[in-house]
Amino acid sequence: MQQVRTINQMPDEGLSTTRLPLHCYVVIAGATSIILGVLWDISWHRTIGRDTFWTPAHMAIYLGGVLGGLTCGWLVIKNTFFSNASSKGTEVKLWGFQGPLGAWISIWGALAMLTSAPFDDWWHNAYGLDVEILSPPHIVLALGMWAIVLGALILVLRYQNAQNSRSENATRVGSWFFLYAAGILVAMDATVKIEMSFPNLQHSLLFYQVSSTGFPLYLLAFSRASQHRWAATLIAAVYMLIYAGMVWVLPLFPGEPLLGPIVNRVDHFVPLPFPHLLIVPAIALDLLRRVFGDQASRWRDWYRALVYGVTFLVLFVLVQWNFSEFMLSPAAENRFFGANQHWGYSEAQGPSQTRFWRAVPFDLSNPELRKGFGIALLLSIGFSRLGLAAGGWLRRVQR
Amino acid sequence: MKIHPHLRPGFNKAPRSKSWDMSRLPVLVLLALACLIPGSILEAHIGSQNVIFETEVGPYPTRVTIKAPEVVPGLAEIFVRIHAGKVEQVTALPVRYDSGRQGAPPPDIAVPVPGSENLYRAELWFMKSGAHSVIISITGEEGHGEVMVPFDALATRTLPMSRPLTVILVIMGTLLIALAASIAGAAVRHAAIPPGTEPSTRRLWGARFVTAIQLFLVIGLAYYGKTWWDEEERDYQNNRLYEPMASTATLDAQLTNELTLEITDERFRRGSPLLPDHGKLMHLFLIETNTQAFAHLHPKRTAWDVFKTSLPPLPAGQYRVLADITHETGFSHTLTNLITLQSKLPRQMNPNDYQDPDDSWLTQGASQGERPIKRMNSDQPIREGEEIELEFTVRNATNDRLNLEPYMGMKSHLIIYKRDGTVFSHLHPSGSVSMASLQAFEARMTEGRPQEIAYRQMEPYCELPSLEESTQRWWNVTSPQSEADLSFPYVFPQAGDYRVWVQVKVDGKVLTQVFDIKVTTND
Repeated sequence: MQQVRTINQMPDEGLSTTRLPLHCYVVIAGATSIILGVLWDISWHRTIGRDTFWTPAHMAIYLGGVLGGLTCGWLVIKNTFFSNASSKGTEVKLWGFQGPLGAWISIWGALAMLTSAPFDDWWHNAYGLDVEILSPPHIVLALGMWAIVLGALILVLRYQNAQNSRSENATRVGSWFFLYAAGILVAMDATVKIEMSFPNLQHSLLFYQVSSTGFPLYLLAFSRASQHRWAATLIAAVYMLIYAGMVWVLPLFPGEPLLGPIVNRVDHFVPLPFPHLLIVPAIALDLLRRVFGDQASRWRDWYRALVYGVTFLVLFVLVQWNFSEFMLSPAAENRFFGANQHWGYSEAQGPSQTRFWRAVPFDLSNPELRKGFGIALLLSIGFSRLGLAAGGWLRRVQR
Repeated sequence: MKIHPHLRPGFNKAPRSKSWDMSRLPVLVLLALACLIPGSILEAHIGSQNVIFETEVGPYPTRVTIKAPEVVPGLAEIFVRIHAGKVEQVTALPVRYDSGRQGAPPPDIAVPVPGSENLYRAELWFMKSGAHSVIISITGEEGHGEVMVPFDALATRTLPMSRPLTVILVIMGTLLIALAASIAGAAVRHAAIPPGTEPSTRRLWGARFVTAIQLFLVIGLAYYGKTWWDEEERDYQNNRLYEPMASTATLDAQLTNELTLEITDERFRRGSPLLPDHGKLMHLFLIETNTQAFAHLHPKRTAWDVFKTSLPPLPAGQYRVLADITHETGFSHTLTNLITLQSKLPRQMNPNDYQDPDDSWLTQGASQGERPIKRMNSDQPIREGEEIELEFTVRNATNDRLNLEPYMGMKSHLIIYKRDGTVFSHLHPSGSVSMASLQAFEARMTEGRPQEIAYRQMEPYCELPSLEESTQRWWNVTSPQSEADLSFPYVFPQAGDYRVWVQVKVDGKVLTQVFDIKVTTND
């Protein structure tokens, strides 16, 4: 049996502090800068089109990378070279250095972001400026940004996990930061899949298949790792607030296309669509977690994954299938939902904007629908199981 | 000849970085072979998509040069040289054929080029392939003027990755893979045990196992990324990189002087109708592969995709067939083929005579026969990538200027051909723009003609001005910097040996004369 030590016995100054250290605030600020920068940049490309290295949206992304990368680099250097002898062996050792796990992940992210820059530049020169989100250099960049946010999440997680009366404040703040960072990761996952997730595509099977990967994984992993009873709900709420906030705020700023051909002359910044109502399956998952418990168990987790996976998909389909119909109706064409009001300069306005694309009729006798939902169900159960396993491990992270 | 060295060295030079990726070797070999096959040389105005246009922009005599982007979406450089007048502002606006001004962004303000008087520069993004027009507006003390410069945005470049970038990416990629695997192992080893404790042996083995699994996963991810990259490369090569339209050139078995050009490309069958460029639907050039014979012909259309012409009495040999056509969209391009004449063609025409009164040819060399067209300043060196004027004068035996008559509406035609076949261009004193394309853009945007295009229709919606109107407009267009009878602005895209044919009409007769020009590198 492993020796368990209380926080008072820990030599690490950071973990034994009563308040959350400054570097946690900095990396969380970096994570915020990244998600806002990414959503702003997508809006920039749909509104103005033309960009440079120095656009404010790019600056926000770089700032996030720099805050995460430099802070975590400094943490590793400090822990390796400037910590006292008693704190040796309190961190994660790697290649002769030592630092918190979250710092290592953020450093990896910063290096990946750095690598993507010349690769992306060459890509533009070789194949032309890419007008879509998904390209190999963009995926390297996305992985880097994802790692920076994941690193920030794990940095604050260890303060939540290091429960002790002396560190109550750090634990409490750390636990909220953890949920907030988890919401950012869900928002990033939704952003990567945005080309398959517009309301017009929510009667297509691909949307439900791609949604059955990241959402159950993140909701279950981070809710199991969290100390909050409504963790999944709160994580979904953070994602929805980030996205909805963009729908409410971005159109307040004027914007004019600087690239042609312009098929839709926009005069304001164009946000991405209103978020998925992820909070509904998230509430259900939180309720089920109470019924089935959160104690990790290899075999019980398979059973839980089956229940959680099926519940997630059924609710997600029921909600989004109907909510997307609402989003394509005139009732949603208002400032709150922003439906059919925010199309980019290269997206022609017309009847197709209020129709479903690649739609499959909701007829359960249709073999195509059954097969598509069957694949989505398997993905949902599989990623739920992965989420439970990851959540169980995250609960134990202490360094 | 005048040289404007304002354009930076290397203007229009192909990138010289070395290839690195062995998986691209077959593609590069194919491309190299393609360059050796005469029938497969690329694009309209072969060897260069750049446009140079001598024109009047309101009260301002101006030259516009567009350095084409080599990929689309890509950035073009626009140079505007105002020959005379006091200018306050120059703007450039890209307009695509199908979206017009209403689909254009606000114009870009061109900025003065330091060290060059009255030379302005702007950068414009071209987001879609196809026919565009750049609208240049000039405002100054003499008033305001505007001109359209037709231009085709096409992806024409395959860019290998430079060795330094390859090395950087390989090092960073290896580091990221190794670090990702190590972090996963370290996470299992240390992250979940209380600070100050050491991992158990079992945990250490678990960490090694996870490191191996993570290594496998990350390498798998990198492999998937490479597969995706290869797919993008294939998509670029097959769908986005400009490929000239396929066509066949055949000689009638019996009537050996009847040439049939059939455009077999599906894009042509689905495309928009052709527009006459200074009166002719097609300008077909036959150039003997050793450049010993030349013909400028105008085939007659016998079906949507079939053109026929009667060949003049050309000597036996292998000939490159280069046919310029312009579509209603404004897209102008060159079809390329190869034919072999087994024996010298007879003078008499076949019963189905497809000869055009404006057909012309030359079978003489550079120093043979009477030579009324004389090149001026031929002793000045010409370098690749430099904007120059090729100047000629037309005199009789007693050195008196000859009166020039319109030859298909133009004062003169100049055909530039690099001896290895990699550069071909058909110019006029106004430059390299397609007149038909320009007229189509103007008709649609300033004369209220229908914006839509008559796809798959024999007759275009867009009705061009008559040849007489066109002649009036272009007759006096020439560079005010030149005092020669004929002046052609041009930028030679590559160093090498060129042969140029100058054509004028005097006393109802077309005079064609050939010159040799050597272009040196900028190094």
